[in-house]
Amino acid sequence: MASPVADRQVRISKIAGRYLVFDIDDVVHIRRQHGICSVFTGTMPQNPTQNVFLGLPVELYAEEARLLVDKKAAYIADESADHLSQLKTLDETARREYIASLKSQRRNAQLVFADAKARSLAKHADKRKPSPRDQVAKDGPAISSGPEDRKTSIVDGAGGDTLFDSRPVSKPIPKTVTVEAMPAITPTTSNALIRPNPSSAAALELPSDPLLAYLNARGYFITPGLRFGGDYSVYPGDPFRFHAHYLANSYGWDEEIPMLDLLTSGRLGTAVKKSYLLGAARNDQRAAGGPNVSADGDKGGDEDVRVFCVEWAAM
Amino acid sequence: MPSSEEVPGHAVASALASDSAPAGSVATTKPLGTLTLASTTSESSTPTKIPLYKVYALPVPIRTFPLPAFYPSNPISLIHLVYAWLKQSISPPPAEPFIIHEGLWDPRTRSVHINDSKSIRALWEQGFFGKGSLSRSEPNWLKRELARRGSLGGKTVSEERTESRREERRLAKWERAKAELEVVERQRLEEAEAHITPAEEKPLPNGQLGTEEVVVPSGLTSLERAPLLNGEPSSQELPVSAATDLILQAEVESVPLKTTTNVVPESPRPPVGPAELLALPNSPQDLARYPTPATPKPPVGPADLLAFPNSLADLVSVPPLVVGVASSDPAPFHLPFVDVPSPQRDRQTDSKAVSDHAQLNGVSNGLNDHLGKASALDQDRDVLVDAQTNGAKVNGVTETANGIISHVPSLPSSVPMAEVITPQKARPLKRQKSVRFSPKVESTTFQHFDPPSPNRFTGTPPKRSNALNGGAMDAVPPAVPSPPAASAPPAPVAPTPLAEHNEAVSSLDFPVTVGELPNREHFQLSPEEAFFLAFVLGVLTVLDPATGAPIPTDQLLSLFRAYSYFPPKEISSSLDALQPSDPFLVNYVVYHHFRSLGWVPRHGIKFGVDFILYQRGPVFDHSEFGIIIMPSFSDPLWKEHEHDAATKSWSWLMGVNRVLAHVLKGLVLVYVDVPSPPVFDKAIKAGGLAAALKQYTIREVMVRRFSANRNR
Repeated sequence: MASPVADRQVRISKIAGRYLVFDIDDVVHIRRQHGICSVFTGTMPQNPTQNVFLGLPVELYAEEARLLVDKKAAYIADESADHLSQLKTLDETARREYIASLKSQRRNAQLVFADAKARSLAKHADKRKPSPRDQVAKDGPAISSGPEDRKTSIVDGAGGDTLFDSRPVSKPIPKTVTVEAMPAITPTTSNALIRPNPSSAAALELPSDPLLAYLNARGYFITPGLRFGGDYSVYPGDPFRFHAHYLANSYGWDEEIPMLDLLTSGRLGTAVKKSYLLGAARNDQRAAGGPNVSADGDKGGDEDVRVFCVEWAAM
Repeated sequence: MPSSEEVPGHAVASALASDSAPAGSVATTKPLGTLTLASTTSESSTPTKIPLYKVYALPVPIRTFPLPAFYPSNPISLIHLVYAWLKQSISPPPAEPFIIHEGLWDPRTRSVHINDSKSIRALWEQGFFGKGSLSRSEPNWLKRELARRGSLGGKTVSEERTESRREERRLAKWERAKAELEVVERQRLEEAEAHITPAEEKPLPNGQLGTEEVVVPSGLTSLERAPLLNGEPSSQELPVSAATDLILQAEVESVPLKTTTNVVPESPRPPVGPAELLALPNSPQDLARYPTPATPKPPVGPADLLAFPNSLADLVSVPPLVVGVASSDPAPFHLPFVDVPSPQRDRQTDSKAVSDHAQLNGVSNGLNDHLGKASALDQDRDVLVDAQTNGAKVNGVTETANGIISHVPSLPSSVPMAEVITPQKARPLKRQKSVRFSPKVESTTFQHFDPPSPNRFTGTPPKRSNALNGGAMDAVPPAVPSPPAASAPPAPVAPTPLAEHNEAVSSLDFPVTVGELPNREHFQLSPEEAFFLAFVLGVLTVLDPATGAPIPTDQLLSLFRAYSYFPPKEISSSLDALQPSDPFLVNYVVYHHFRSLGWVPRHGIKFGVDFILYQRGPVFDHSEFGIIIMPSFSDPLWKEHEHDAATKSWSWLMGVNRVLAHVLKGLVLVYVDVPSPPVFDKAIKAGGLAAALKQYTIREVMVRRFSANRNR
């Protein structure tokens, strides 16, 4: 993945009006390369009964998705339509390729499992040194006998039917079972099955936010600002390293901003040691065909965004 | 706002409330119901103080004369009743509203101004209507101003108390941060001790020949000798008395200047970084106990922060000026500081400047037990804020005039200050308040008297700066020492006490008596308040500013409705432009609703809400709720008429709720069901506004954030 970093195409799945990224490599990529760290929304399989810490997929703002598409770093896949149509048109070779890729994934998973199992066994063996003799006799050969024995233990774990009598039974079986007993996996993405289709039309209806693009172009990171009563919280770098510096709201160029909103956000921003940032793009108005566009029509490009900060002075 | 002001009031109130029973030891000897008892117990200086609940007895500016209650078990109450009834029927009290106040409609501020002081007090005390134009809410500018000018008629008002409370809180936070950093510094010192051998002792920072033997207290290690030596070449006991100070002072005048003439002075290492700054001595006591030479002021206050160099160019332009700081304590002890880094110097954020000197300096102080009340910080701030008004460029001069000693390492001490300052003056520093994000936050508060932009003040410096120091120095060519600066003695004379300095600040003011100072404050009633007073109570007539004639109520209504839009709609264009959903009408409905139910609604714009609700009034308690008015157009007839769509977002709601949560108020969404235009017009034709108001319905919804993790 080192070489195609620059032109990596991130698949953004549009599912039920939400823009999700399922591939962990994609998530890392957009965070590192494009400064977009979105919100994890999935349940963590390791700990499914809590919702404080969440995992894949990552949900993007529609504006963020649009930004990535505009940067030609991503494409939108309307999953409900795309997925099925691609699956239906799958030919035999593709099917075989897919099965092969699944197998390779399973093999990888098996190796990982085996490794982990061996390590844990070794650890337990260390712990149980002063334990009774029969334990030592059982664990001893398991460690020393090498790969074959590791496989047997995997079989035990994956099969699940040998709950209590695993130790004696597993020994004779291993060599025959290894291939079929590869762990069953649930792939997080179906990237191997589905080819990228960057020409999807779904991107066109995405709303764009010039302020977001403006901030992103200047290296700011953005997370949702709901808890501060704004559109975004703006970080000067990765949120792992910084606190948010701004609490940003995006407006239309001619939009009337209620005074109370300014006050609320300004006051809240200062109370949480941030600045309240508001910005709008001039070409918003141009797109809408505003009356006095022609006055400075050829002045700005796409980036004609003006940004202001408001601070509560009397606190 | 309720503050400590109310405490004596409550004390008196409780004494009075319980005066039918023996209240305290005094009450048993006195007859019942005497006010003198309260005054003897609580305060003797102001015997005429009226308790708050009596001052603010009336909820609206209307008096009622209810007949006394009749208790069948108590026949005397019947007599009382009959007496009151007879008295009221024979000589009835004047018809209410007895006093009708006059207000002047001011279209520019969209408020009704009241200038008569009696009306102002009446409206404020009877229902908390309106606000003073120069005050937070209660019109007390005059009292504040008198107190500021030292007059006896003045009074410390709640705004000042809030200010001082914030100041205290800031200092407490400062102290806390300092204590935390001291722990860190102590740990670092211990670690450094473990590593550094005695051979690696630091060279003396000021280039002095460190041959003198210094009596170091047992608690201090060899590392700390360097900062101790820095300004005091003589050996001495560390807990100095005033006598040793005087001796030292004499020595300082001669010794360090000689020693520094041929030795290239290593530039004094400024305490950069928050840790060093925080660890600096905090009060004159600290300074006296450990006369650590370098006492650069920690940059509290906005002036210091603004005086930070903004760019590398600024850093270059700062001359190697060395300014000593004398204690501003009026006591005759005087600290012989020699090489305190100049204010500009010690603020430069050059990473190289993070020197051992500064660190050790901080450590040695950190080892001491700081119990100072941070008064030094305060004084520093005063001085610096003052200097700020002159612009940062005359910073040094101002300090000189305030009795602060200055030396230049390479110059004899008799050189006038002007020559010393000249390189600094050649390039005036222009500073503006700007938001800069740095990893450390020095200060987040600005004083209310700070100029919004210092540059405005450099153009017209205050009188004092012209008189005392070189406000005029900008005009003087650099080579010529300017007379005012030369007259300010650079030699270490006894410092001017800070009291004098403070007087100088307000030198243009002089103590005035109550009658002399005109009240420049007027009273403002919001349209809702004015209309309530005029329409419901009839205690207010609003005058037209153009003609001076009173505006009748129906015209007042259309005027206020027209002015609730921006820009205001034309009143003459009939009622077509005006709708039942006018912001004024909707607001007024809510105001009327809560007023009628006995709440005190006041505008809550500073909390980002439409109204805030007080249960009794701002004098008695904090407001409990913030109100957001949500016009709702649920009437199906509204479909044919255009109206504003609701545009409130979730993030808006979260923001408002969070702001109110910060100030411990509840958020109430008040939905006003606005009648459709035909219904409204019909009602207003049939029964006037009173009938029309009945068409509005109000629903209150209280919003509270529920967090699953916090609300267990």
